[in-house]
Amino acid sequence: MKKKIIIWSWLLTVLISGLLLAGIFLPAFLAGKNRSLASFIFSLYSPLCHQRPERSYNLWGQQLSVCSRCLGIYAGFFFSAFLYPVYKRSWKIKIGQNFQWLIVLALPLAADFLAGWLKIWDSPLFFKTLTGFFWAAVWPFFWFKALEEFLSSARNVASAGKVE
Amino acid sequence: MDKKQVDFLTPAALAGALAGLVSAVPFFNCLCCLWIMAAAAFSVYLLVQKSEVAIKSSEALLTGILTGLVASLVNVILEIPLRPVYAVVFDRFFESLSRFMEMPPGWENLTQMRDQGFNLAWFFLGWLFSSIMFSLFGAIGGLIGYSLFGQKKNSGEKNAQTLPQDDSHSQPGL
Repeated sequence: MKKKIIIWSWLLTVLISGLLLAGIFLPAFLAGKNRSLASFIFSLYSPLCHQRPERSYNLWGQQLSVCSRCLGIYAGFFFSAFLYPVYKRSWKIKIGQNFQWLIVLALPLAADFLAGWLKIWDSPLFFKTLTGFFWAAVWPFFWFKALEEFLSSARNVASAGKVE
Repeated sequence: MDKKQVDFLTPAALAGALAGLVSAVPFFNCLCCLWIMAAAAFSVYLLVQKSEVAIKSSEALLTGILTGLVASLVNVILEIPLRPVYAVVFDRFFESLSRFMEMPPGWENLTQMRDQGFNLAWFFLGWLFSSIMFSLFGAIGGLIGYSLFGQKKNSGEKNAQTLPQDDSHSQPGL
C-alpha cells in the first residue's frame, strides 16, 4: 500500500510539473494558430512571473510564458522529479536528510539576483536559467519526503478513525 | 498542546493574504514566485512560534499549500479591479523600454495578448491554474520555512530528550 502511494505521488508530481513546463512553450507554439488560447495560457503564468521580454527566451519569434530564471526552476523540478527513482537511493541519504540544501543551493540565485538588482552585473539568460535549475533540482528530495510523511500520517488518522 | 490541535489555518491565512496582495500589485510581482515562497516560509515561522511541539515536514508542507491557496484567492480577487492598471503600467513600461534598447521580436504582440477581454470561463480556469501553481510553490516555501525555522526547534527538543534524566548518569562539571 505504501509503495502504491509513493508511485502515485511520483506519477502525479511528474505529470503536473511536466504540464506546467509544457505550458511555458505552448503560447509560442499556438501563437500562429490560436491567438486567444495562446494569450490565455500566457496570462496564466503572469501572477508568478514578471514575464519581461528582455529577460525571457524566444521560440519561433514568440516570447516564452516565463522568464529565463523561472524556466530553469520549472525545468529543474521536472527533470529532478522525473529522475528521482533512479538516484533516490544513493542521493536521498546525502541530500534528503539535510534540509539546509534548500538554502545553500538558493545562494547562487540570490547572489545573481542581488548583483543584478544592485546593477553590479547583468548575467546572461543562460546563467539565470542555471541558477534556477540547480535550486529547483533539489526540491524533489524534500517534496517526496514530506509528501510520503503527509500521506502516511493521513492514512494513520483514517485508520484510527475506523477503529474508533 | 495536542498535536491534533495545531492550527494551520491562521498563519496560512495571514501570510497567504499578504502574498496574494503583493503578487497582485504591479512592480512588486517582479520577484516572481519568491513572494509566495517567502509567505509560505513565514507562515511556517508563525506556526512554529505558536506550536509548543516540534512540527513535522509534512505539516510545513500542508501549511505551505494552504498559504498558496489563500494567496491565489486573494490574488484573483484583487486582479479584477487592477486589470486596467496592469494594462496601463505594462504599456508604459515597454514603450519607454523600447526607446532605450532593442526589444526582442514579437514584443508588440505581447501587449495585445495581455489586453484580452474578461471571460468568466477563462477566469475560473485561470483561478484553478493559479491555485495549483500557488499551492505548489507554497508547498516548496513551506519546506524552506521548515529548513529555516522548524529544524531548530526539532533539534532543540531532541537535545532536551537526550539529556540525562538521572543524576548518576551525568558527568561531573568542571
